[in-house]
Formats: sequence, structure tokens, C-alpha cells
Amino acid sequence: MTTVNIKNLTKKFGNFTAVDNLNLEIKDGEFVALLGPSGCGKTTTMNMIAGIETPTSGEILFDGEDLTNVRIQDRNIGFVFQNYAIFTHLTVYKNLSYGLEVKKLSKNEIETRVMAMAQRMSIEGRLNQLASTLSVNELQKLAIGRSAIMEPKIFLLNL
Amino acid sequence: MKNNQTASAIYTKAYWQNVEQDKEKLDFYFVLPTILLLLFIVVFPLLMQVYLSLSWWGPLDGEPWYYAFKSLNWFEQYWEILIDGRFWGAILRTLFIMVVVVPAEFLIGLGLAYLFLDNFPGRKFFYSIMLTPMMVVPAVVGLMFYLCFQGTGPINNTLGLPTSFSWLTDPNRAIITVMIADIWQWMPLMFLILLAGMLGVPTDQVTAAKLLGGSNLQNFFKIILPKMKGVIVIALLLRAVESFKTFDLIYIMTKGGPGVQTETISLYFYKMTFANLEWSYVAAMGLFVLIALSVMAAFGLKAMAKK
Repeated sequence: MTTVNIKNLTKKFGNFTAVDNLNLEIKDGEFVALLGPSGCGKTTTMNMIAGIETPTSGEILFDGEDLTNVRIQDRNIGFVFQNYAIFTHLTVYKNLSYGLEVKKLSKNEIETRVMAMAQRMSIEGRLNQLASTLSVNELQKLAIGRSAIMEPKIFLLNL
Repeated sequence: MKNNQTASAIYTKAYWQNVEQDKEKLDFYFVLPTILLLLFIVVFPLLMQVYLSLSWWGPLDGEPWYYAFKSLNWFEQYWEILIDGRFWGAILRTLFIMVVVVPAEFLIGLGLAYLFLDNFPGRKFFYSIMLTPMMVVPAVVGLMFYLCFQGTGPINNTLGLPTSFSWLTDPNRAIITVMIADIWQWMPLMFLILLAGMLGVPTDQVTAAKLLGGSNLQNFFKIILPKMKGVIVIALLLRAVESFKTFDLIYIMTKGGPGVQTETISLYFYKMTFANLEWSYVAAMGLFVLIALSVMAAFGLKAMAKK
């Protein structure tokens, strides 16, 4: 795991300040929850950590390394979206294996890891179904499993 | 209480059945004008075409079309179509144009739509510019390209080609020139439809794919493109049907020439109708193409429904 250091983080959308000078340190293995009313900047903060949004000012450090110019793809962050952002046109199996496939892992390894994760999330009976046929509950499990299967350094759950 | 009783006595089951029947009758009367109109503009001409296609009748026969039965020949014209080299040449040429032009428009449109997905300075301006060709009257586009591709025209000037290098009168090049004009005019339509489809793909699914490590290219082929399948099918179908009917562009640029090198099926029909006055033969060819296309479309749609 990784230590996350957020220093003087600010995000502005035009005249509106979504995140104002946030300082936060999350230690390795720590479990932190951001709580607050809607519109207070929880999602924006997480989006900036993940690299979906670029900060207006301030920096985000992973283990002391500045991530501002690192591509989303290379940050190795597990992110679960509020609406899960499941690939509805793919099967449950393909959803779980997507990240492993684009990394070009061997077929055997992909299968072992997908099976293990599906069992852990207890959705192994749904693997060949289209993801769009799942219940909300199962979608949530799939979204978490899809991120966890990549063994990310940091896990962001926007729920 | 008494009122209620009378009310329930009036609104019996039989009463409601009556109302339903009246409603159905009323529905019928409401759609009747449309049915009559359709009969007049679709069914009547079609029957007339079938009737004429079974005879040798022509406008110079000196008799109205409904006397065509006097020269009835049943299916002889259809046999003639089967051995009409010019007809099959026109069909092949039309298909060739379709097979080249539609994929070209699709690929260029898709690439440009992907480019326009991101915001960049001047996006709105270029967007309007991009859509202009589609708004121009095809005859005007034909004239523009006719002028551009003259021996002494700007294309040859720019490319440094001699004035003897001819685009429109060379038997092999003329069809390419016509296709360039078609692509120029109709690629924007493809672009517009594909961009709309691309904007409809949920952005957070694309972001999720990025977070999973997929490169832009991988995400494009695995997430964005499959999600656009419906739009792509519609765009291709629309352009395929349209390109089969191309007429004005080619008529202005080459009139189907040199010889018959750019003669599409529409142009052949036109020439046979107004130059050769073989109306009944054109009627037969038209029906032949209509039936062939309908069968092809039915098979195509069936194959698509299976997928």
C-alpha cells in the first residue's frame, strides 16, 4: 500500500471553488471516510486523487512522489463510481477481466484471478451473463471486484 | 342512491362493448384519408409500373398508357434485363461506388468525431465548417467539382499536373473523381451521426476503463465502439441506401461518361426514360431492382436481428 499526501489542494470550476485548500495525510493501510453534505467536494477530491480532474493548485503525493503529471492509466488506483460505471455491453466475466486483458496478462492467469474474485464477491454464478442483467446489489459487488482484481495501491470508493 | 342505480343500469357490459365498437369505427374513419392518400401515391403508381413492365408500351405509341395491354408481352422485358450488359454494368458500378464511398465516409467521419469529442480552441467554428458540404445542393457540389477538376482547374494547378491530365474524361479516373465529390459531400452526415452516438456513450464508463489501465485506443475499440453499434448500423444503412441512388452529382460532373464509365443505375434509368423513351423497359428494370434490394435488405435485417 501507499501513503497519500495532499497539500494545499484547490479546485475551481470557473468562479466556484469546489475544494478549498485541502491538506490531508492518509497513511499506509489507513481507512479514511470523507463525510459531508452533497456538493461539499468529496467526489471532486477523489476525482483529483484518481486523476480524473486536474487540481487548480496544490499537489498530491503518493509515497512522496508527485502525481500531477502522471496519466490516469499509470496511477494504479482502484476507483468505484457512485453509479458503478459497469460496462453494460460486456458480460460479468469480461467486466472483471477488462483491466487484466488490457495489461496483456496470460489467459490462464486472467481466468484464475477472475474466478477467485468472482467467488470472493459471490457473483460466480453470473459470470456469463451480460452485466446489464445484474441487480443493483450485484452491480456494486462487480464494481468493487473489477477494481480490486487489479490489486491497486489505493482504493477509492465513491458510494 | 336512486341516481346510482339508474347509472349502473345504463352502463351495462353491452353498453361498453358498443362504445368500444364505435371507437374502432371512429379510429378507422380518422385514418381513412391517410389510407386513401397512400393508396394514391404508393399503391397506384406501383400497380401502374407492374402493368407497364409487362408490355412494350412507349409514350410515342399514340395511345394512353392504359391501352398497354394491346402490346402485352408478359415477362419478355425481364428476360431482356438478364442479358442487358449495360444494366448489369450500371449495377456493378453503383455497387462499386457504394462499397468504396460508404466505408471511406465512415472511417473519416469516425476519426473526426473522435477528434471532436474533446474540447479544443475553435471547436465550434470547425464544427460549423465541417457540416457545410452536407447543406450544399448536390447539383452545386457537382458543378464545384466539375470546375475544380477541369484540365486547367485548380486541382491540376495545385498538384502541378499538366492541363492534358484529365480527371473527368479519362475512362479510369472519372469514377474516382465522382467518388471524391460524393465523399466530400456526405462524410459530414456520417460525422454528425457518429459524433452524436459517441457523445451518448457514458463518460464514466470510459473513465472507468482508463482507471483500469486501458489505453485510449484500447478503450475506443472495446468500450466506445461496441456501445455505438446501433448508431453505426443506422449510419451505414442510411448512406448505403442513399449512395445507391446518387444521381445529381454524377449527372452534372460527367453525365455518366466517358462512355458509360460513371453511369450508375439512376443515370441509366434516366437516359432510358428521357433519351430512349423506353418507359415500359425502365418500369421493368425499376421493379427488378426494387425486388432485389428488398430481398437483400430483408436478409440483412434478419442477420442483424440474430446478432
